[in-house]
Amino acid sequence: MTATVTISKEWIPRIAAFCCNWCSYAGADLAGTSRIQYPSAVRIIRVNCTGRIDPEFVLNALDKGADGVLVSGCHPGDCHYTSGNLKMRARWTLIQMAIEQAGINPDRIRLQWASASEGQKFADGVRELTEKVKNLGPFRRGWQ
Amino acid sequence: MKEKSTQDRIEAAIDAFGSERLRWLIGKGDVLSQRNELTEEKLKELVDKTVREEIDRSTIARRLIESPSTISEISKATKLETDYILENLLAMMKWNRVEIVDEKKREYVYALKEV
Repeated sequence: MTATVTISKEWIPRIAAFCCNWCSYAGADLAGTSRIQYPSAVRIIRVNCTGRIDPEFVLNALDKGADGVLVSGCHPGDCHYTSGNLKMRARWTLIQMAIEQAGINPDRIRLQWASASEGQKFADGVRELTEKVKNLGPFRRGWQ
Repeated sequence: MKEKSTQDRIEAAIDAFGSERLRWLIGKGDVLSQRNELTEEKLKELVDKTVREEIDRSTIARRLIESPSTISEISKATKLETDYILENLLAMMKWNRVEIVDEKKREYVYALKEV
């Protein structure tokens, strides 16, 4: 008996996803336990709060080989630390500006709010970003 | 494969976000806007200008790490305007980040100041 393994040669963008511990990480977990399909090339990095995410993290992820970066946190008003996600939202414009200044298409990054009960929303966000990045093409030297 | 210039710009942007000036704006921008000391448009304009300048200053600094250079040499390597480089070098001198170390062909040679 012989087993055949087919390896897809299609390029799949690598996405670094920064998820807050209290909402989106649980949402991603729910997506998994609910068997909701989303691209497998996403690498989830758990942070305590999106307010913890320094703009450097996003730029560093792209520099170190990610094709796109997703930041996912609690809905405004639902932050476990009261206002961490609002700080992230204020920073986001700045990150987009820096990305553009560095000559990178801002479509490679995405900020979204997904609560612990929104596994589908998290999966949809990952899928949308992956599709956008797929259209833009690769942007990396490989993970380092 | 990512172009080297893009990679340099990303690295310069990463450095720029370490700058005190940008960090101050990130932290205080919203507060100033809420106190009506800055309008939203003015803040956006200011942030845009600061991000651009800080990235360019990091690009200049990265060039100076390689070797002390004149403005023409920096301009050739970074493709920035000479006037703009001078303006930023003067600001960097004010912040004690750059110093004049020599003179070459009637041009000053700038280097990063050792802290």
